[in-house]
Amino acid sequence: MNEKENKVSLKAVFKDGVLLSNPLFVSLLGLCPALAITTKFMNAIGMTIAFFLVLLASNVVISLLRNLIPGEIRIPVYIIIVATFVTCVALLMEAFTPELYSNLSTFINLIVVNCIILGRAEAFASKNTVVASTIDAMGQSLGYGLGLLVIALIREVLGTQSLTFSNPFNAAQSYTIPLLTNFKIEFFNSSAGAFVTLAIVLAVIAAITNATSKKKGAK
Amino acid sequence: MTFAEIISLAIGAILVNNVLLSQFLGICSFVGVSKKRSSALGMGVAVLFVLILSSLVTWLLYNLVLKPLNVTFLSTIVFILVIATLVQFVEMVIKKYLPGLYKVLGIYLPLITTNCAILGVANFVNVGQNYDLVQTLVYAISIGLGYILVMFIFSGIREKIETAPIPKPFKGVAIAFIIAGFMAMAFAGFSGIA
Amino acid sequence: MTPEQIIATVVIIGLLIAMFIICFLLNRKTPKPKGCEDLEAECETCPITTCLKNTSKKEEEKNE
Repeated sequence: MNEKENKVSLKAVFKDGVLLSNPLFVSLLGLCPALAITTKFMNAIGMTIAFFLVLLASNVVISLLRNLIPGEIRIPVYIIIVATFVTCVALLMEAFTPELYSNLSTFINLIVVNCIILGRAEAFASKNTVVASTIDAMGQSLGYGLGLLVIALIREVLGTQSLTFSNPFNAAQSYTIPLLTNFKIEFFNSSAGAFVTLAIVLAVIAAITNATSKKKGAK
Repeated sequence: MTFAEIISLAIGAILVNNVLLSQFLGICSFVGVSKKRSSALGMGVAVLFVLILSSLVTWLLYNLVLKPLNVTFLSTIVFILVIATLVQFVEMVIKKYLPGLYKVLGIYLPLITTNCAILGVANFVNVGQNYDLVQTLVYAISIGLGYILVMFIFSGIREKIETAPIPKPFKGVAIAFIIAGFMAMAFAGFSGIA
Repeated sequence: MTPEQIIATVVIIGLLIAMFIICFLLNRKTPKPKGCEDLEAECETCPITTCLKNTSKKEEEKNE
């Protein structure tokens, strides 16, 4: 019985991270990369993977150490742990995916102050088991990644009329799919376009949420 | 550095590559603290203050410790530790000795540790551009001024539209981003100065 | 990694961590100046739970 209950709640944790508490659209965290690097779909994919690695590592470590970290100094300790993993991921990316790293470099290093990671450490990993924290990391990263990918998709397709996929380990291999013709709205590549795209996606989500809650209310 | 170079660096940082509207650093605080002009100004001044101090200290550490010892890969960890320590230290000092200053910006100081702008500037100045001390100071002050400028305008607009008829899905944060988009468009016009 | 780099890493990080924790604890101990106790930053949409001045922490401290 206990195992079943645990499994159900793990599912809830995962669903929570992706939908109900989507870190980007619901909690409005991690906005800086969502606006800055979403000019290209591949950038969004790279950022999501880097973010996932850092979140997973820090959630697991903090969960393992949760009974050992004195409550008084937990925020400083979390920052130190996250910073270590960010440095590791950044060095790995610089070595193995140099092209991607040069596109993302500032924002990979800024993962250390990404509110999502510290937020999950404080709100979840410090109070839950390692397994639950792993699932939480996966859910939150998936939620954040989906958000980044949606914005990047809109911006790249409308801004450059095509989608480019490239091998992160060997930037020479890239494959561009032209998708639209005569529909290039370069606005979406600009910084103003980033704000507007995010605003539209948020508005659409708000409209959907309002509509579904009205339906539920009517019933 | 000639005066002209200083001016061009400053204008570049305040207007052309504005920290919020062009470099996208510090957005979380941008949305959270900008509903009132007073809080926006308080936050802006606190950011400027911490920017100046942190850019100085990180520059010193990077150029006098990390580079000579060949451990520049530690930059991210060192910078964030320095920034976090500095914020705590500054808050403690002004609580004790400058209560007037604490009234103005003390409450915003803890928010600044996780502000991307501070760490972003530290990274840019040292790892990215390798500025010298004067350039670093000029850049940090200009970034802070650009931040205050945008926060002030943005909060003024947000205050005004509080009473405007906004379509329901856009209420709250979405309309704020539309406004930010307009501002970004306006500031993009400055790139002609370069 | 040369031995000097490793020693430098350990010393620098160790010193910085120590300073951070010292400043953090000292800051916690110093009380706010008179007349400032009830100042609140109006960060309404701020869901940043690690924000070091989040109001929900104050309830925790009161419970302690």
